[in-house]
Order: sequence, then C-alpha cells, then structure tokens
Amino acid sequence: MQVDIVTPERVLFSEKEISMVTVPGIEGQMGILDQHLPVVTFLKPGVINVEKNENKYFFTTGGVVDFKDNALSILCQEVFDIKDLSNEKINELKDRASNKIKDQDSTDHDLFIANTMIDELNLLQSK
Amino acid sequence: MPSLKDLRNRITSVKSTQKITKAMKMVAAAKLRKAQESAEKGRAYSEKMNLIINNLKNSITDINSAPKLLAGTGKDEVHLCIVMTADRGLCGGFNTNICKKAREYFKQILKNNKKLKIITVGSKGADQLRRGFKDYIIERISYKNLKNISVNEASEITSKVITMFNKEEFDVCTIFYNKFKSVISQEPQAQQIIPVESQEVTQKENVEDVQYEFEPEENEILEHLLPQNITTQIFKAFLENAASEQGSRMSAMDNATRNAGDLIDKLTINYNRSRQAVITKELIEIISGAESL
Repeated sequence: MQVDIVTPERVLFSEKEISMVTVPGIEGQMGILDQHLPVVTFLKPGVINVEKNENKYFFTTGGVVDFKDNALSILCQEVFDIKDLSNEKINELKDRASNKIKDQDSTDHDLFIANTMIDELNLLQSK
Repeated sequence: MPSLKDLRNRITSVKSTQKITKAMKMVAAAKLRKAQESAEKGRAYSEKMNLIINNLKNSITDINSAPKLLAGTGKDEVHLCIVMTADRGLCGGFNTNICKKAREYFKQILKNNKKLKIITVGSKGADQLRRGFKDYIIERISYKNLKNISVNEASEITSKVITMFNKEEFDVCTIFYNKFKSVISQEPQAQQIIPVESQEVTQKENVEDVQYEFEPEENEILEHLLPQNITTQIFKAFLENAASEQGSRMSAMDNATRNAGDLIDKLTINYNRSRQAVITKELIEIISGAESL
C-alpha cells in the first residue's frame, strides 16, 4: 500500500508497497495491513512503525490517519524521524507536555494526551 | 530648462534608485523560490485534510447533532473577517488587491444590515483598512519581527477565533488572502472557514459510498479535527500569501528597474543635447564677437 506521512510544512515520508504500518491509535495500538478497510482514526503521541526491509520509526505528537483505496495518509502537526530526534528535542517536548498538565484550562483530553506524551518519551529515552 | 548640473544630478539619482530596485528584485526572487516551495509542500496536507473533512461530513446523517463549527450557529448575523496582508510594502498591488476584495465584501455585509468584525493580520492591511472601517477592526495582529511563520502562529490565531466562536461573538468567519498562481498573477481570495463551506464535491467518484470505519465516533473525530482544519487553512493562507508577496514584489521591482532604465536613457539624450546646445551657443558667441570687430 501507499504510505504518506504529511505535516503542514512538508511531506516527510512517501513510499509505495509497504506491507504493514503500526500507529498509536487513540483507542490503542493499531496495525494496518495491505487492503485494510477504509478507516479514519486519531493518533495519540507515540511511535509510528513503517515495516519495510528495514523498519522505519517516527515519533508523532498526535494526528489523524485516513486509509482509503489502499493508500494510508498520516497527517500530523508534528512528526520526527526517530533517528533525528535529539535528547534536547525530547526534553523540550516533555517540558511542553508538563506545562500543559499544570495549565488550569486543560481538558481531560489534553491531560490524557500530555501524560501519554511524557510516558512515550520516557520510553524512548530509556531505549 | 534645467541646467546641465541639474540633469547630471538627476541621472545619478535615478541610477542609484535603479540599483536598489535591482537588488530588491534579486532578493525577492531568492525568497520567492523558498516560499513557493513551502507553499507547494504545504498543499498536500491541506488537501488531504479537506478530503477527510468532506468524507466525514458526508457520512454524518443528522446535521443537527454535528459540531457547531461544521454546521454553523444557524444564524447569519455577525460576520468575522480575517484580512491577511503583508507587513512590508513595495510589492505592487499585493496589499491593495486583498483590501479591495475585502472592502467590497464589507460593503455587502453592511448593506444587508449585518454586523461586521475585522481582524487584520499584517500591518499593511490594518493601515489601508483604517480608512473607512476603523470602528470595525477589533484586533490587529502582526508578525513583523518573525522571520518565518510557522504552524504555531496559525494555531494562535485559530485559538483566538475559536474562543470567540464559543462565546458566540460571531456566526460566520471568512479569511482573505492572495492565492499564488504564478509570479505575475496572484488572485485575492475570500474563503469561508466557519461554518465549513459545503464544497462542490469535485471528486464525486471518490466520495460515492465508501463505508468508513471510524475510531472513535464521527462526531468526536470532527470535534477535534475541525479546529485543526481551521489552523491548516489559516496556515495555508500564510504560505500562499508569502509566496504571492514575493512574486508580486519581484515583478513590481522588475518593472521599476526597467522604468528606471528608460528614464536614464531619456535623461542621457536630453543631457547630451543640452551639452551640444551650450557648445554651439558658445561658438556662435565667439564667432559673432569676432565678426563685429
């Protein structure tokens, strides 16, 4: 299937003939195989895994996934190739999430996203 | 009749102006390439986003239960207009065209006895609209000091707009910007972002009856997606505007350089003629002086 990972600024990844992609869906990890049913879902912060000969990993802070006609579009506000993700960047993202947790106006949803983000980033750092 | 010295001064001054416009053109051309690239790269995202929203909209059976951002408040009383212009001048008709388009729209609204609220983005638009619509401008936003406009600025505007919408301070929101078509042509656009305009579905075949699986429910997805969509649209407008501004400046400066060249040619001819005239006059004076002796 065709896989595109797009941000408002650019197309980060675009390749054909990918057999499987794992995305951090808001209701749990979700593996999308070739010829999946059309689906639209939200992402929570986490790692996107694109399976090729050599697996590729991306970290996203959230986004939308749309699968149709054997083409998977992943739209993210922010997404990073794990290889390019420096420790400073991780800490910056963590700070942003913890600020969100302290913010009085944050909704339950915001809190959930922020907490997930910190957990996922900690997991990344420990690897 | 200007003296030779006057003409010489004018030629030098036009020459230095030409140097400036030429330099500005070069700078604009370099910036244009970058801006155009990012505008084209950004299009993929906003197009996909639009498609998803359209698909969602089509799969919603009961429009009344849909989020207000999609369906609207049901009224059409207060219009919020976001006019996006540049922070700098000297770019041909770029700012004027947007303001002209906006003014026409404003007049239409006021004629129908509806309320008008204006947010200007970019200082040039604020300056132009101050004449005539000063009382309607509720906020002026300018990112003059920022080198690059990122998604953060767009989401800042979005959150302002959404807070206003939730307080029911307006019913319809429209953004004005220039769409980049080519270096020589930019089209001023008025795009309604709240409620989401039901677009003529051009890709009808694509939409037909794909049965989507939604996770979570449609409405919940929409509730989160719609604010994001507004950010995307505003960001797209920023990118298109940036490319248009540079394109417009480039062609304006190109024209100015050419005009300066023409003027220099004309002045040089004038200068040479007067120089010759002076020489001839002196000769005649000498000859007639010698004859009278």
